[in-house]
Amino acid sequence: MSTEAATHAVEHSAKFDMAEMLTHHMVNSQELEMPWGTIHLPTLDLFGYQLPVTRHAVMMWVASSLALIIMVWIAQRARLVPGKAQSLLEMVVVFIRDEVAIKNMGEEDGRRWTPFLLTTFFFIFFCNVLGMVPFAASATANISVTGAMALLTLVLIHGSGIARFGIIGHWKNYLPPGLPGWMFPISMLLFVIEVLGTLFKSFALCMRLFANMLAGHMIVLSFLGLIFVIGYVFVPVSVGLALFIGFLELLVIPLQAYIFTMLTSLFIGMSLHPAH
Amino acid sequence: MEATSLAWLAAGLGAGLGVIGAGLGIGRLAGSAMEGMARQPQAAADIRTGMIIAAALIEGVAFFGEIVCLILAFKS
Repeated sequence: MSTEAATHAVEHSAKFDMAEMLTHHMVNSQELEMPWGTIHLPTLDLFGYQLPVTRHAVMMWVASSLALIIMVWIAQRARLVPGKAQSLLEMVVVFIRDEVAIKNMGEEDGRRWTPFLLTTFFFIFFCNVLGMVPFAASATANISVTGAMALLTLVLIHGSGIARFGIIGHWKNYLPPGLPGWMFPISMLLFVIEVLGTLFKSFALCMRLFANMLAGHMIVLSFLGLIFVIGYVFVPVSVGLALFIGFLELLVIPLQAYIFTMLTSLFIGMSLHPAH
Repeated sequence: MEATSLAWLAAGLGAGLGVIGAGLGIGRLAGSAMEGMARQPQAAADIRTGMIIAAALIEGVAFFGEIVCLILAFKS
């Protein structure tokens, strides 16, 4: 990321525009900037639809392939006495199964939903990690990506409830229990609030992950951009601050992946085992 | 004053106010967590885990406001 900023400053030695630099680096585009040049990504023409292949889409493919390769590599070398990589992976998998899935969804549901939650966790984790790699970008810094994942959570919240309790039964779970008939308007209001609550919770999931990833990269880019505004004397301060923010981001990356996974399992658990 | 200048002003003010909210909230959270850990050191690990999760959730709320300020800041 910083290497691209430096290349740009050499190329466009016109007046430095901070806003333009920030939008150029944070907004999705169809160009992959590599050290040896720029790769222009194609626009696929499938079934009459124009599907542009963008940088963030390529990053999602890289993250998924990375997760797949690492998991298969470690799982195929599984021994009864685990080696180092297997122990590390088992630590994470057992943590998600016991502390996240089983705690929020109960014993049998937790075990059934563990593969999905593990996929969610590792996909978001690898997507976020790619943001720290030079010349790569984090796909989760794109609101479409996090929006799609939050939409999936919303569909799963209501879909799992409908699958278990039936179409009428699931919505009945959102009515407060045991109110007399004359309080019908109030129970309707509570019903609407609860259903809207699921929408807002999914929206919050989307925005939380998106904003965390976007803000981290934007802060680093802003600090490095200040070098061009103030002058080369500012380099040690800028690089030091950017490094510090990088360390903070190392904490934020697994934390946000864990929070997304935990809240997803919490909401689905609340839908599968309604309090009333 | 044109709309763009007002938007930029609003972006700056909004970002600062959002940070005040997040700072106050997470500060209170950290204070209570420290107190709890001091009272009962054997619960320190559980308190620390809960503190980090709650801090991430509070930060999420602050980020909603910051995103709105970002949208305003890049108005042209």
